[in-house]
Parts: sequence; C-alpha cells; structure tokens
Amino acid sequence: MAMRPFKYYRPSTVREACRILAEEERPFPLAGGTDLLVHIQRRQKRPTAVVNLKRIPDLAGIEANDGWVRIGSLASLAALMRSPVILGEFPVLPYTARFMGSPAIRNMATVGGNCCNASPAADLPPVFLALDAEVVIAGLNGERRMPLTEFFRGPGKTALGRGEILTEVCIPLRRGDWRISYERLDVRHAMDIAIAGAAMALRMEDGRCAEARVALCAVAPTPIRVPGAEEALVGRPLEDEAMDTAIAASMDATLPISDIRATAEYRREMVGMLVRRGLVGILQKAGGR
Amino acid sequence: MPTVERLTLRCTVNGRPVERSVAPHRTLLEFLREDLRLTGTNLSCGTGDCGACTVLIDGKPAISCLMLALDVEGQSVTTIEGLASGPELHPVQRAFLSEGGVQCGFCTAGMIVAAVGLLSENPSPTETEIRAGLEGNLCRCTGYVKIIRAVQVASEMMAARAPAGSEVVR
Repeated sequence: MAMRPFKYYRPSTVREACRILAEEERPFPLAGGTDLLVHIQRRQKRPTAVVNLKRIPDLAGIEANDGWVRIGSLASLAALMRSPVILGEFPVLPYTARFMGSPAIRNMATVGGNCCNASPAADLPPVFLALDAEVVIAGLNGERRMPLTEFFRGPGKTALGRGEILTEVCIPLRRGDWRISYERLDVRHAMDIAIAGAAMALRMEDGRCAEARVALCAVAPTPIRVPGAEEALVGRPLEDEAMDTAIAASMDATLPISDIRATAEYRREMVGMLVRRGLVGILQKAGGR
Repeated sequence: MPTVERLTLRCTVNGRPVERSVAPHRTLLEFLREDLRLTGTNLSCGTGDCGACTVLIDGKPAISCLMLALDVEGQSVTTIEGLASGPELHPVQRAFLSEGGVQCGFCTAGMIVAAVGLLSENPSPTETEIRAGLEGNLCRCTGYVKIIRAVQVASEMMAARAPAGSEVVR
C-alpha cells in the first residue's frame, strides 16, 4: 500500500536527530526500516516525519573495551554476524541472528531496531537479557543508561521518551565457564517470527550452576527474565529436580496470547520444552568437557 | 497531512549517476519502477517476506519495497537490468536460462539478484548455502530445484572464467 506523505530528515549527529524527534509532531526514527516501513504501509504508524539515523557516523560500530562489548544501535544483523568481537565473545548472537529474516533483511535490519520495535517476539532481546545487557539512550539532555530489563514496557513500547534514541547495547564481558544458548520454536527458520523463544546463560563451576539467567520471548507482552527459574538452578547440579523446577517456573512466568501462530496454551507448553532443550544442551556441553 | 517538499536524490543506478527530485514517502522500488521505468524489479508482497523486489545496494542484497528512495543517497543500486554487460547476460542469468530456473518469472529478477549477491560473498556455495542464501526469495511455482541447480552452474561458470586465485568480479 502506498505510503502517505511525511517529511524526511537525514541528521548527521545524534544531537540533531534528538532535536528533530523532539520538535516534530509525530516523528519516527528510521534505522533498518524492515519493521517501520511495514507499519507505515499498513497505516499502523502515521508519521509526520521520518528521521533516517543511518547516516550518523559511529552509531554502527561494534567494539570491546573496559570490560564491555558495545554494539552500536545502527549495527546491522549482518554486521553482528560478521563481527570478530561478537563471534569471539558471544557466538550465541550470530547464531540467533541467523534465524532472523533473510540475508537481504539482515543487511538492512539493525540491532537497535530489533530492540526499539519492542515486538514481544523479537529474537535478540531475550538473548541480550540473558547476557545482562544495558542500553544507552541519548536525548537532548545527554545520555542515560539502564539495564535492558527496564527498557521494554509493552508491545511496541519502550522506555524511550520524546526526543530520545537508543545508541548502544552494552554487554559485560564475562569470565568463567558460561554456557549460553537460544532455543526458538518456529515453523520455518527463514522469514518467520518465533512462536516462543528461550535464552539462557549459566555459569558452571565444579559441575554445579553458579549463576543463571533465563529469558523468554513471544510468551508475554515483553521479553521477560524468569528469576524463579534462575533461583531454581543456582547452587545445584543440573539434574532433574532443578531442571523441572526451572521449567515449571518458566511456564508459570508466561502470559501468552493466542494468535495466528499458536494458542496461548501451546506457547506455555512449548516454553517448558524450549527451556528443557536449552538446559539439556548446556548439560551435554558441560559433560563433554 | 503535511505539505511535503520533494528532496533531491543523488545515487548511482546500474552504473549511471542519477539525480532526481523525490517525495520522501516514495519507496526505492516505486522510484525504480515508476520514476526510472526500470520495471524488472517486481512488487509482490510489499512487506519484505517474498524477495521479489531484491536489489543490490553497494553490492549487497536489500529489499527495495522496505527502503525509502532517499535512503540510497550516495549509494550504488544494481537492479536486474544492470547485471548484463551489453548484450552479454550475467552468468547467473545465463544459468537460469540454461537450467530452466524460470517458470512464471515473477520471482526471477529477485532470485537472480539475490543469487548474484550470494555468489559475490561466497563464490562456491554448497547446496545448503545456496538454500540459505535464497531463503528470503519465494517461488510460488515452487521451481526451487532448478533454481538451486542454476546457481550451482553459475558458480561453476564464474569460477571457470576467473583466473585461479583471483577475486570473482561481476
């Protein structure tokens, strides 16, 4: 469907972008466009102005320093999959990105867009949550930083205020024997959206789980962490009892909807399956050392 | 409804410099098909799901129905019309013909452009890599077997033409 007219800006600095976003009546920032243009064409978003962020220098970098990996919000999924830093430190991210869209879509779609679109089914957010990611938000009054757990506020809703953009996703580098996985249920890997997804990061020490993060997508209004599942795992060997408790806690934490992809009941059941699959995978890797 | 002025777009399309005034809400696909009359690139789903509108931006596959024309300022766009060298078809085009990789033809432009993008990144893909490389391109005739074969043949043709150790350039 043809789009209705809107104004177009191509700012060259973050500050200029924030100013335009603060001043325009109904502005939308444009990154990869793979969600935004669909929403505009479907009249789900009716911008008076589109602010193309792609030409702001230094917003698409990926680098490691001071104990953090910083992913610029405009980094494409293709760049995430190619980045030596990411491949070295967090291979789960390229693994996850491989499920998303198609090669052409991954050349366009961005890490920041996948977060800011705030789809409950987005694949990167649960993985970022399992990795204790933080986000940097820029506005007219400077930057603020928050844990990603506070960023998602509902379907399509984030903590971004008027005149603010997401500039970085930051992930702490980690030491120790971390086992990280993302399990996704879908009909088809390419061009499909998760029916449900489960990311987990466990630090193993002497056969026990010393730290745990469990995060889910597509089963609640936002991606969620599951503290109950994490508590069930910490301090215990990865055996049936701890795993069953974590799985039950994960299923209990969901608030799924029924839609064309799946019923709420199915999503809830499948979250249990995905968490089990992730834990068994982690256990097998741990046992294989 | 805001009154919106057109902006000047400067880019390269199929090797030729282009300068046009464009309304901001025009997609790259609309610009190519309607303003430049390059109608080889097709509109099918309009939501990025089918790949029929695939073009190359600076050599990499992109979905032209989900880009604004103004987004390609300063960049190089290659469409299906830009692949042949004069009368000589691109090896991927020749292989689609020789292997029967075309049925109704509606997906073909996007398929071929995506395949050219794949082969420039990975000149000798396995069958699995070809399937992954074309995972965003749907053929409603379901002629995938011959499409995959065509990409394999194109890869062989391009390797035979390129001196050993040299980079394969379109």
